[in-house]
Amino acid sequence: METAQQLDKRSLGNNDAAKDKAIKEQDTMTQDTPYPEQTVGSPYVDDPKMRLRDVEVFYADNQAIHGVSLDIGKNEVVSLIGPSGCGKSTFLRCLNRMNDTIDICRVKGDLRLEDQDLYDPKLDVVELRARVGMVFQKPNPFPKSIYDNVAYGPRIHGLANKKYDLDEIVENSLQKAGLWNEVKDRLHSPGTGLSGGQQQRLCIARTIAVSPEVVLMDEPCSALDPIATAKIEELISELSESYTIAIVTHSMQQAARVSHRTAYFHLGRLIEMNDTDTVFTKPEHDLTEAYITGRFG
Amino acid sequence: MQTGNLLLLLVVMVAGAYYLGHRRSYALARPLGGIRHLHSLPFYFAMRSAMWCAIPAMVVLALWLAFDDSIIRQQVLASLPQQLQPTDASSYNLTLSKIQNVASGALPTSFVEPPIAEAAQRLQSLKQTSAMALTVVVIVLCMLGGAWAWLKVSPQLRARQQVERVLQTIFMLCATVAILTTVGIVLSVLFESIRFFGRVPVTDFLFGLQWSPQTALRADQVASGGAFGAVPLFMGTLLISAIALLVAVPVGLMSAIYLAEYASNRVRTVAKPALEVLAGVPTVVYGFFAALTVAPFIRGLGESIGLNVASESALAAGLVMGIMIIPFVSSLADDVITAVPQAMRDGSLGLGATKSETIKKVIFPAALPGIMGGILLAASRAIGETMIVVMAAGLAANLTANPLEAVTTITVQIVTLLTGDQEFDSAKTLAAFALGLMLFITTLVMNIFALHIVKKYREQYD
Ligand SMILES: Nc1ncnc2c1ncn2[C@@H]1O[C@H](COP(=O)(O)OP(=O)(O)OP(=O)(O)O)[C@@H](O)[C@H]1O
Ligand SMILES: [Mg+2]
Repeated sequence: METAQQLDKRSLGNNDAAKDKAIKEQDTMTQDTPYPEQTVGSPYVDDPKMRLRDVEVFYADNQAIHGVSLDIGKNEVVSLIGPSGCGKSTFLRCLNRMNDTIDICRVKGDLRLEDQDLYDPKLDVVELRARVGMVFQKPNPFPKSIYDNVAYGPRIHGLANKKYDLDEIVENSLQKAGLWNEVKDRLHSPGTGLSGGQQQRLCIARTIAVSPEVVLMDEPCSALDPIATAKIEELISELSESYTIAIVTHSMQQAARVSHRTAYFHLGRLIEMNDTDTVFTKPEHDLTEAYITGRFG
Repeated sequence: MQTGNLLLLLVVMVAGAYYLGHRRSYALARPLGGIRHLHSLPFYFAMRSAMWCAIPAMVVLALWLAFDDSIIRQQVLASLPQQLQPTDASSYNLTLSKIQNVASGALPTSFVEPPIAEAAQRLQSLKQTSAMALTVVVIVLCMLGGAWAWLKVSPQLRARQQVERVLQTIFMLCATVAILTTVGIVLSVLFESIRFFGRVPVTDFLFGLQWSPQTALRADQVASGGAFGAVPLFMGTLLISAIALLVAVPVGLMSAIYLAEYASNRVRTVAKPALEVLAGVPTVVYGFFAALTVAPFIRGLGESIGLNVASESALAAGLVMGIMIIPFVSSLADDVITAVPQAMRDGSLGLGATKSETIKKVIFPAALPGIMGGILLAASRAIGETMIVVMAAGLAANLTANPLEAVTTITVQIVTLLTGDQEFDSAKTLAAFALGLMLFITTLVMNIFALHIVKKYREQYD
C-alpha cells in the first residue's frame, strides 16, 4: 500500500507548480490514508442506464482520471462530489463526449449508454449529445430570444413539424423547468436579459427540450443565490421522474437533498460510492469521511 | 540657430530637466526616509519638470514659426517705395518671389531695381534677427520653466495629479486635431463643390448620363462645355465594388471560419499572417497583375465561349480588387469569431448541434457586428481604390452594368481631373471636389446604414 501511494505521488510529480502545491497540501492531510484498491461501497446497480468501466482520461500526458468504474441507474440522480480539481467535471464531460472539444484530451475505457458504446468510432456524437444533455456551471443562454433558446435543439433535430408543435415543446420545457410563469409574457425578449437563476433554468429547459434520456449537470447552482438554488434543486427532484441525472456539486447539503446515490472522487480516483444516506451518515472510507466532515476540500 | 538644431537642443534641455527633477525628488526624499514619503513617485516630479521645460517653449516656438514668415514679408513689402508696391495678388507674388530669389542668391542683384535689392537685404537681416531672437526666447523659456519646476519640487507637491491633467489635455488636443482636420476637409470640399454647382446644375451632375469633362480646346468644338453627368461613374464604382465584395466577402468569411474553428494551431499560425500579406501588397502590383494577367485571361476565356470582352474590363479590376480586400474581411471576422465565448459553443454542441450548425446559428450571429465592420472596411477600401481601376478597368465612362466592358470610377476620374495643367477654378477641376463630396456622402450613408443593421440584428453575449 505504502509503495503504491508513493508511486502515485511520483506520477503526479510532473504537474504544474501551482497544482503541485495544492496536492502537497492535500497530501499532508491524507498522508496516512491510502487509496483503496477498489472503490468501496456499491458503485454498481442492476440494469444501469449508463455503465462505465475503467475510465481513464488524459490531458496530453497528464492523467486526470484513474480507472473509474461506476453505474448510473435508470431515473436515478447520482451526485459526484470531491475536492476541487479531482476530475469531477472531466468525468462528467466524458459521458456525452464534450471532452472531444478539447484537443489534448484522450479517454480510455468502456463507456456505455444502455448498450451503446459511447466511444465507438462509428457513433454519431451529435445524436449521442441529443440523448445525453448537459447543463453547464455558468448559465450560457444563447444571445437569442427565450423562445429561440428553447427551440434551438428541437429545430436542429427536427423535432417539430409545425410551428404549433414547436410552441408546445417550448411551453412544456419551460413548464418543466419551472420558468414558464415568469417568462410567458416575454418569450421573445433576449434570454441574456434574465437573472442568473432564470438563465440557468432556461438552460435546463433548453436541454430538456430535446428530450434527452440523461441530463448531466456540472455545478448548476454555483453561480446562484439560495432561492434560485432551491428552485433548481426542486426541479432536479421533479425531473428525476423522467430523466436520469448526474450532477456535480460542491455542496454536500445539495448532494444529500437531491441525489439517490453519491460518488466521492479524490485526485482522479473514485474512492467511494454508495446510497447518499450511507455516504453522508456512515462513510466507509477515511478519505470520504475526511471530506464530508470538512477536514479538507 | 536653425530650427532643427534648436529642437535638438530643446530635447537635450528637457532631458536635463527630467534628470534634475528626478535627482531633486530623491534628494528631498532621503532625509524623510525614502520615496514613500513623497506625495508622488520621483518619475512624476521628473515628468513635471520636463513638461514645464518643454511645453511653454514648444508653444512659443510653434507660434513663432507659424507667424514670423508673414510678418517679415509684410514688413519687407511695406518698406518698398510707392511705385513698387504690389497692387493685386499676382504682382504681389511676383514681387515677393523676386525679393526672395535675390535674397537666396538665385537672382543677381544687378537684374533688379535697387529698392528690390535693398528689400532683399532687409529680408535677409530680418530673418536672421528673427531666428536669433527665437533661439534666445526658446532657451530662456526652457530654463525658466525648468528652474521653476525644480524649485517647486517638494514632498507635498501633487505632481502625479498635475502630470495626469497635462496628459489628459494633450490627449484631448490630439483628438481635437483629428476632428478639426476632418471638419476642415469636409468644409473645403463642400465649398468647392458649391462653386462647382454654381456652374453645373446639381441635377445635371446627379442625374446626367454622360460624363465627358474635357473642356473645349476651341470654342466651336462639340460639347465644348463638357458634360458632367456623374451617373456612369457611380455605376462604374458600384459595379467594380460589387464584384470585389462578391469575391471578398464569401472567401474572406469562410477562410475566417476555417481559421477560427477548424484549423489546427499550427495551420493558423502560418495561414493567418500569410493571408494578411495580401493587404500589404502595393496596389500598383495588383494593378499590373490585373492588367497583364487577369484581364487577358478573362478576355481569352470570353472569346473562347464567344463573348466579346473589352481588354480593360470591370470584371478584371473587380476580381483583383476582391482578392486585395479579402484580408480586411477575414482578419476582422476571425478576430470576432475567436472572441465568441467557448461557453456558447459548448452550449450548442451540448444540445447535439454539429460544428457547422453551431457556427451558423450561434457564432455567426454573435459575431455579426464585427463581421459587418470587416465588410464595411472592405467596401470602403473597394470604393476608394484607384490604382487597380486605372490599370485594369480603363478611363472610359461607359454607362453599363455589363462587367465585361470597360468602366471608370469616381476616384479614377478625380485623379484624371486634377492631373495636368489646369486652372484651379475651371469647372473641370471643381468637378473633382463635387465627386469627392459624393464619395464622402456615399461612405457616410453606408456607415450609418451598417451601424443600423448591426444594432438591429446584434445578438449580444455578456
Ligand atoms: N482543458 C484542460 N487541459 C488540461 N488539463 C485539464 C483541463 N481541464 C481539466 N484539467 C485538469 O484535470 C484535472 C481535473 O479537472 P476537473 O476540471 O475535472 O476538476 P473538477 O473536479 O471539476 O474541479 P472543480 O471542482 O474545481 O470544478 C485537474 O488537474 C485539471 O488541471
Ligand atoms: Mg469542475
